[in-house]
Order: sequence, then C-alpha cells, then structure tokens
Amino acid sequence: MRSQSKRFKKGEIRIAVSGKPKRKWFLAELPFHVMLLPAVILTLIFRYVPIAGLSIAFMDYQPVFGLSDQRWVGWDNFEYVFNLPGFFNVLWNTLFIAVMKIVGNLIVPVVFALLLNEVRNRWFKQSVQTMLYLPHFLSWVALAGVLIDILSPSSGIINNLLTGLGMKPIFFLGDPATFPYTLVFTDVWKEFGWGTIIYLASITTIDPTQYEAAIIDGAGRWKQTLHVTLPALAPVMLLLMVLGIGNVLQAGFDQVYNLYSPQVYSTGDIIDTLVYRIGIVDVQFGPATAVGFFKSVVSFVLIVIGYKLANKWAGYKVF
Amino acid sequence: MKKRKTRALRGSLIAMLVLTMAAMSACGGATKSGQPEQPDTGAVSTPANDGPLVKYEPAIELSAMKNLYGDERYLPGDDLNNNVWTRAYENELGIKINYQWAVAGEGFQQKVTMAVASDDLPELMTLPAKDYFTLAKAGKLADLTPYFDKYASDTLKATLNADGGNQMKTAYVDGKLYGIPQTGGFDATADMIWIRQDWLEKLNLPVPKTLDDVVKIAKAFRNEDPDGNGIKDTFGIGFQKDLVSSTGSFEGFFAAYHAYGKAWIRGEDGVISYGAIKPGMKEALAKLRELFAEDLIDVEFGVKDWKKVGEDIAAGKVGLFYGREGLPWMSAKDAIVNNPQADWICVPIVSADGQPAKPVTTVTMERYFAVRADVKHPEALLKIINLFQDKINNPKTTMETLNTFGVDPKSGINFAAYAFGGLDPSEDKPNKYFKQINDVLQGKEKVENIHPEAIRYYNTIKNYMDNGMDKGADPLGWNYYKFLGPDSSWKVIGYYRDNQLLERSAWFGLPTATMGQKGATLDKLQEETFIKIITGSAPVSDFDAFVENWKKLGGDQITKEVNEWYNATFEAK
Amino acid sequence: MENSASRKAFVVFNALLLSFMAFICLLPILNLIAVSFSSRSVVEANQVGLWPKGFNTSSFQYIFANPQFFKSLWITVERTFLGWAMELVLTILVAYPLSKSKRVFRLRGFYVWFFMVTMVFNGGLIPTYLVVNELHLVNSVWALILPEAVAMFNVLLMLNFFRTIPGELEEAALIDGAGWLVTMVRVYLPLSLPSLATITLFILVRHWNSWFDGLIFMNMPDRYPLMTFLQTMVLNLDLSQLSSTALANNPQLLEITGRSLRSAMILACTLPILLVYPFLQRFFVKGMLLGSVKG
Repeated sequence: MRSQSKRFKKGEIRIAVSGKPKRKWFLAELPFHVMLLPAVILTLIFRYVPIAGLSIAFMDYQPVFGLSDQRWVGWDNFEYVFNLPGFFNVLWNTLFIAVMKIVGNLIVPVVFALLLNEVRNRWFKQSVQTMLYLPHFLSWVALAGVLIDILSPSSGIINNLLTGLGMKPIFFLGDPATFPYTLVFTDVWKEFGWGTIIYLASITTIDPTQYEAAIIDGAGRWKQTLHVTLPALAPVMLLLMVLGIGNVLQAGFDQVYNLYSPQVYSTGDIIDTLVYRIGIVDVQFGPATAVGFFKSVVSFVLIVIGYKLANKWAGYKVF
Repeated sequence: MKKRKTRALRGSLIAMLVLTMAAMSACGGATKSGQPEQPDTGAVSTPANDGPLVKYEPAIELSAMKNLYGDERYLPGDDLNNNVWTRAYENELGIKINYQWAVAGEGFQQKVTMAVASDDLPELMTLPAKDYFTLAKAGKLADLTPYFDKYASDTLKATLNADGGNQMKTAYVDGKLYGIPQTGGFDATADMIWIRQDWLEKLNLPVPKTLDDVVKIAKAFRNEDPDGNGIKDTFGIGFQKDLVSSTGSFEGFFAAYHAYGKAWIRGEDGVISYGAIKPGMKEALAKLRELFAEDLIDVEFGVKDWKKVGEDIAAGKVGLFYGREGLPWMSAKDAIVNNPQADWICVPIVSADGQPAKPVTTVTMERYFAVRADVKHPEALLKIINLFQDKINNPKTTMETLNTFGVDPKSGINFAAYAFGGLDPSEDKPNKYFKQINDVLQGKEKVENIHPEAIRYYNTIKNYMDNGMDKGADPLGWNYYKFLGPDSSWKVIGYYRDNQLLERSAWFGLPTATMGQKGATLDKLQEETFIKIITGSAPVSDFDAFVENWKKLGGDQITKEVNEWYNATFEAK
Repeated sequence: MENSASRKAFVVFNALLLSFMAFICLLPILNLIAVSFSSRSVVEANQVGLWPKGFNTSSFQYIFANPQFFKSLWITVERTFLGWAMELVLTILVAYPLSKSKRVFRLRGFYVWFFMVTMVFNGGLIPTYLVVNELHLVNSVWALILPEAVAMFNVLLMLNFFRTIPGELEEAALIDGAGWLVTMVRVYLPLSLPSLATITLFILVRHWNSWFDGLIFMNMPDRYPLMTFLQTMVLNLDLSQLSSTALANNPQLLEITGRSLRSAMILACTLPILLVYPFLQRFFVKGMLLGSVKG
C-alpha cells in the first residue's frame, strides 16, 4: 500500500510541477472548487444550519417557544445524564459491546471476501454472495422472535446441538455473562455479508499484472492473497477502521432494544436504551441532544486520532 | 436573550448559525401567527338559539390533524378529507374540516413535536397529554370553560361521566378547561384468570377459588400431561417479562397478596402509595420463586414478551395464565383454531388469604382534543364531538345510522375511525351491552329494545351458540361469545363491579416531575430485583433493600407528587 | 501448484463453509416466506419452520388489494431513482477533487474536514425539520432526497477507489490538454464501474429502506414511501393495548397484527431491493483495468 501511494504522489507531483507559477494555482484549482460547490451548498443548508440546533443541548428546550426564546442552562443537561444512577455501568456496557462489534465487523467481512475470492465457479460465488447479504435487510424487530427461538435453552437448535454434544445448555439471551457476546455474534452474522461487498469491489480494482508478477515469482494462492490481495484491501480496511473507532459509543439500539430484558440489564443496558427508557428521546429534548452531542464529540475526536495515527504509522491519509 | 447568546458564542461560526436558525424560527412564527386571519369567518352569525348541534350559516372552515390506526381503508372515491364524517360535519354542522396531516403509530408524537416547534398548529388538534398541558400553559389553546356547559350535548356529558368524570377532571389546567380527553376504559384492564377448561376436566380439577387451587392446577398442568401427547411440554402457569401485560401478567398474581406491580393505590386513609412496595409483595415474590424452583414457570419467561407467551398459549403449551378481557381476540382464540378440543374459561382472580383479591385497573391519559387559541368559534370542537355522540352513542340511535357512521356491514370498514374526537363511554359500554345481551338470551328483554350495536353483537353470539364455530357461523363468533356472551370476560368484570372488587389506580396522569427524571431508574431497579428474586439468583430478603433504595432514589418524592396531583385534581374541586 | 492436495482440501472446505454460512443467512428469509404463506393461527402458535403450514396466499391478497401499496411503491421508486442520480453525481463530484493530493489541490484538507464534520455531527430532528419546513419542502419528494444528498461515507469510499487508478492515465489525459472535469469523465469514470456499482448499491438500499424521513416529512399516508407505509401499518400496532371493544369494531386489526401478514409485508416491500445486488454483480468483474492500462 505504501508503495502504491508513493507511486501516485510521484505522478501528481509531476502534474503539479509541469508548470505553473504560484499565482496561477488558484486558477488551476478552480475546477475543483466548482465541482465541490453544489455539495458544499447543500451541506451548508441541510447539515450545518441544523447543526446549530445542537445548542439545544445547553437549553431547557421547550418546542412551544421559538429557538430564540429558550432558557439556557449551561451544562445542566450533561450533568443530568451523567449523574443518572448506573450511568457509568451503562457507558461501560456500551463500550464493551461496541468495541467487540467493531472488531468483529472489521475482520469477518475481510475473511469472507477473501474466501469468496477463492471461489472459481462464478454462479456459486454470486449465489453465496447474495445469500450472505440477506440478513442485512431484516430488521431486528423481525429477527428478535426468530432468535429467541433459535437461542432458546430448552428448545433452540443451538442448545440442542450443545446438549447433544454433552454440554450444558446456554441461556444466550437471559444470562448476563453471555448476553453481550450473543449481541456481538448475532450482529456480525447479520452484517458480515453486507460488509464483504466493499472488499469484493476493491478486489476487482486490483491490477491483474500484480498477480502475474507474483506467479512468476513463484507465489502460490496463499502467498498471492497475502502479498497482493490483502495489501490492495488495506486502504479500505484502514478507512473502515478509522471510521469504526468513531463508533465506540454506538452499540446498536435496535438490536439491544429488541433482545434485552431486565434479566440482562447489568451487562446489556446501553446508553441508547437507557436514554430511551427515560423517555428523553421523545420529550426531553435538552438531555437527548446532550447525549447525541456527547457521542458525536467522542466520535469525532477518535476519528481524528485514528486519522492521524494512520497517517503516522502507515503513511497514508485515509481520507 | 439574543444578546446573551451572541456574547456567549461570539465570533464562532456556530453563533452565526444559531442566529440564522433563531431568525428563521422567529420569522416563521411571525408569518404563521398572521396566517389565521386569512380564512376569516368573522361574518358568521351566531344564532340566539345556538346549541350543541346547531349548524353554522355560512359554513366555517377548520384545519385539523389526525391520529390514525395505520390501516385505514376507504370506500372508492373517499379519502380522509372526504368521507361520511367530513360530509356530515359540513352538511349537518356547517363545518368544513381540512386535515393538514395525519399519521399513525409512533410518528404521531414526532409530528406533533414538529408542528409545535415550527409553530404550525392546525386549528383542531389531537394532542398527546404532555403537549396538551404545555400548549395550554403557553396560551396556545382556546379556553373552552365558557362553552362546555352550553355546547356539550347530554350524550357527550354522559360519555365523559362514564367513569365518574375522573378522566375529564385531568383536562383542567389551573381551573380552566382547554380540551376534551379521549377517555379510556378502566375496567377493561382488570386481570382475570384464563384456564383451559378441557384440561381441568381431563385432570379432574375444580375451578380455582384460592391461590392454593391455582398452584395445584399449575402443578397438574405441568406434570400430568394435560394435552396427552406423552411429552412434558406444558407449562404450569404462563408469565412473561413485563410485570403488567395483557397476556401472562403478574399483576393479577400480585393482587392475591394485595400488592401491585406498577399501580398507585389509595388507602382508606386517603393516602396514595406505590403498590410494589407493599409488604404483600415480598410474599408474592417468594411464592413466585417457589413456583419457578418447582419448574412450573417457563425458565425463559424473563426474555419473552406477551407475543412470545401468546405463541405458547396458541400452541397449547400454556393452559393457565393471568390476562385481560381481550384474550378472546388473541392467543386464546388461536389455541382453539389450532386445537378444536381446546376450551377456555375465565374466572375472577383469587386470593392467598381470606381477604378478597382486588384486580387493579388503570387508564393512560394519552390524548386531548383541543382548539387553537385564535379560532373564532372554539365551540365548534364541541359540536364536532357531539355529532359523534349523537350518531353512535346516543341510546336512541338506529341500526341504520350505526351502519352508515359506524361499521359498514358490506365492506366491514369502521367509519367511526374517521370521525374527529370519537369518544366512547368505555366504562359503561361493554358492561351495559353484556347485561342487555344476556337479558335477551335469558328472555328477560326483547332484542329490538336494546342498543343497535348490542343487537349486532347479540346476533353473532346467538348464531355462534346455535350453530357452533364450524357450522357456518361467523369465524369471529367465538370471540364475541367470550367477549359478551353468558360465560364471557365481561361477566367476570361485571362480577368485580358488583362486588366492588375493582381497585382503580389512583394515579393515571402525566408523569410527575420526579417520575420523568427518576422513573426509568426506579423501574429498572424494580424489574431487576423482582426477576432476580423470582429466578432465585437473589435472596427474597433483597426485597427489603429494594424498598429502601426505591424510597431513597426518588420514590418518596414521587409518592409525594402523586398525592399532590391527586388532591389537586380530584379533591380541590 | 494449483492442484496440490492441500489446495484441493482448501477448495472443498471453502465451498462447504460458504455453503453453510449461506444457508444460515438464508434461514430467516425462508422462515419469513413460509410464515407469509401459512394460516394465521398456526403462525401465532409459532409452529411454522421453513415450510408453509396451511398454505394460503391471503396475506398477499390483502396487501395487493390495498391501493396504497402501489402508490407507496411508486413514491419509493421515484425517490430512489432521483436520489440515486443526484447522490451519485454529487459523490463523484466531491470524491474526485478530494482524491487529489494536497500538492494538486491545496484546500483539500479544508474540504475533507468540512464534510467529515457532517458525518459525525447531526443537528437532530427538530432543527432539520425547521430547515426543510422553511424551504417549503415538506410533503415533497425532495425532502427525502436533499437533506442526505451528500453522503460522506460514500464519498470516502469513492475517494479511495479513485486513488487506486494509476496516475499515469490521468497524466496522459492532462498532457493531451483535457481539463480536470473531462479527465474525470473520460478516464476515471469508465475505470470505476465496480466502485460506482458499489456506491449505487449503497445509495439504492439506503433510499429504499429509509422510513423515518417519510414519516416526518410527508403529511398524509398516501404520500408515504413503501417502508414508511410498512412501518406505520404493521410494525407499530400493539394489539395488547386494544380492548375488546376496539377489536369488535375493527376486526381487521387482528389480521394486520398477525405475523403472516407482517411477514408478507416485509417480503413484498423488501424483495425489489434484494434483486438489485444480483443484477449489479455483473459490474464486479475482476481485471477490468487490464485493457486500459495496457492500451
């Protein structure tokens, strides 16, 4: 990957050098600004103007009064949320579940993309690909009922297998010790097929001459994967990794909400579900916005750090 | 205000944008508040003999919003703004209703919030409770106090009084009436015990009279293979994860010990306290723990919701559970369709001691109908609501009117759903119909003398009793039969009523201040403690600690607020 | 080397593993199909596995008898197509300049972070609604398209794809006197079919599946896109909250809360978008760059 990026830089340098005095740089770059203009305008109107609404996090916001007539409360909303009993337990649960999901959803799709890449039969490959991505389209509401059956300690298929092997049945959804892992596994299962798509698309962009060169060097399939395919996927993996660490506070509301129960609150209650139960999503706008703001700031800081680290260690600007 | 803001965020891009937003919302407000002047109907003459159903000449126009069910169907050519009800409002009352927006489900609250935030309220409103109170206090709603007595029809007054006027009293804000509550039925939320009669007969068990009987039946249902398939796949008693539920509820079980999972009970001293911290609760939990340890309860009940336990009921795995009057329409019916031998009875809940067990009942004050403050004729709202009462709930209404404005016998469409502010005297209606129908069945009354809606139910029930389910009767015949027939769920509710056994939850208003802040935390504490005690992962003595914590973490404050709310709402007037 | 024993073992193992995983992923859909064709009470008793019991098509008849289904389908197709066209163009227009290095495009860093902020920070529902309302877009299909028209995630993907295209090609075009825009259209886009297909898939799926914006920005249910229709009609109605009195007058509610109908609805609303990927797969062909680089 490093060699690749270097190569581009070289090319670009040549373009840049190919001629213009400094003053004309702006003119040379003008087409770029023009290309970006429509997106900038839309983003300003539809994203930046509403972002000003994050100030609600510092208000005792009552929709019935206009935005200019609200009472400012400073950090009260943040204090209220952080001081909720058990908030730090919930924060920890969120981190734990989210981090495991990030890792799982980063690794598993790559593995399956590589495995799919090894399949020669095009029909088989495309059918499998299509089937793998089906669960992505089902909502957690629809899946929850099925999962409760499949994971049932008394009648579920998985536990029937376990007991058949002489093991003790596991109460996947009711045991606080296993619940977070159940969440991670089911989430990875639901999303990995969808996740492979990006990698499969990236694989198609690999220059076949690289494989030819590797074969001439005597590399087998495994070596080719290791030295050609994987490095070619690295930029996208790095990108998804950097964006992924921004998600450490996103443990997946829909999934948790549909699968958890008071039995597993101790390990399964996350920020979003707690906030939902308090009812602040629907009516307490100040605290709800404060939670969102907090999560965004954490996310942004982590993405920036990830970006810098990637730049420092891999010498690659992911975006 | 603006100055402070600018100072706080001066120089930053954010500040600029905040101001943009503020300016936008301010000018939005300005244009909007000017708007209502346009469709000025100032020329409307108010006749001297104006009354509940007098027509406006010329007609007036009102914008409105509507909360839908989600599966509205229309006759060809009709839609929300043009149907039997909007035509009736126009022809009979001279009111043209224009629905600005309509939405079903959870989107309703969101849409209301957006309308409030953008100051884009329609003239006739259906409001969630919280928005009703904030809008009323902000002066955005018309005061209906001077109009109510003159314009509310007698039928409407009777409907609002069906529960003794309790729900109506919640609509007053600082002594003034800004809206009409969408009343709900307390009685319909009472728990009863649903049992598979065929299993009782098979195992030679009597109908339960005490909690010990219930436990005995549960043991037999679990261990003696009531479905005769040779596999131990039946549960003793069906529960699910929520303390209060329509199916597999704990509330009826707790009531055996005179405790309640989620209700506020007013003692004889007039003081209201939380039902879940009553001493009886400890015994109730200990008993449940015993049942769980004896394997009479599904080990997975803690992860199942009412739908999941409903599946077990429909599959014939549960033959005993606490549930509400609606079961004939839900899983109990499916159980019968799946297994024609199945037969359900419902009986009153039982007590663990000599004292009679009282099921708790409650309502949620969800919606209020209101008028925007600048409307010239706020009484139009009352007239609109009156019309529904006149057509549907009026004791003198005819079958023909009911077919035109209620359920259309041909298409099966319930036109009543398109009315604005359709209110039912929820308390009285099924109680009254049950009595009327059974009087007719016993020959004490003639069919033609009872309410036309009751006649419709009677015909279905009679047909079912004569022909049975598989002989050409209405596929829903059994549902109506168990709903209002001689051995129906409303017979049980009638029994509760006649013996003064219904314990009405004393609190059913908007969450109090502390409830809003601490309620979720307290609920979590309660639910976790209870499930741990029941499943045996915490000792019963944890209950005492729970009570202490509950009080400390805000329970005491909430109790105080609930008492204040009750006194302010019901005692002061 | 390709035929060594270990290679063969791997191929077999790989095929088995992938088949197994595919099967596991297929299960819930098979269950959904079986349930949607089964009779109500059997379904409510949770006795349908992968094959229908009491086979019938009444759920689908019920859905297709509702004219709203087709109205909503049309709105979804409209928003998905318009949204796709707009978003794809914007994605390319943003990704291309940003894929240049800082030396070529000095303000690149500013733009990147300008857009990155919107990826993480979100003003929330009320402010967004106020803006859309102020622009008089409520109840218009554009309310479903414009607010999310610049999707930074897709931009980042596209940007990374563009970077894999050899710089020599661009250089050649520039030396021939082509401008940036022409270079982008003539050189980059033809080489980016797999990535454009990927982005297309992401955009189509997002537009098809969005339901909340339809709920908020559309005023009447007859303007709802398909997924909003699905969400409001079947998924949110809690039967347990209704009393017998309500049910006696609205018995169709029993039907629409039933799992058969719900499953049929989910299938009917999801199937069209499921078919997009197999179609797009033709663009995921390896070695597309080969000819152009050599030629």
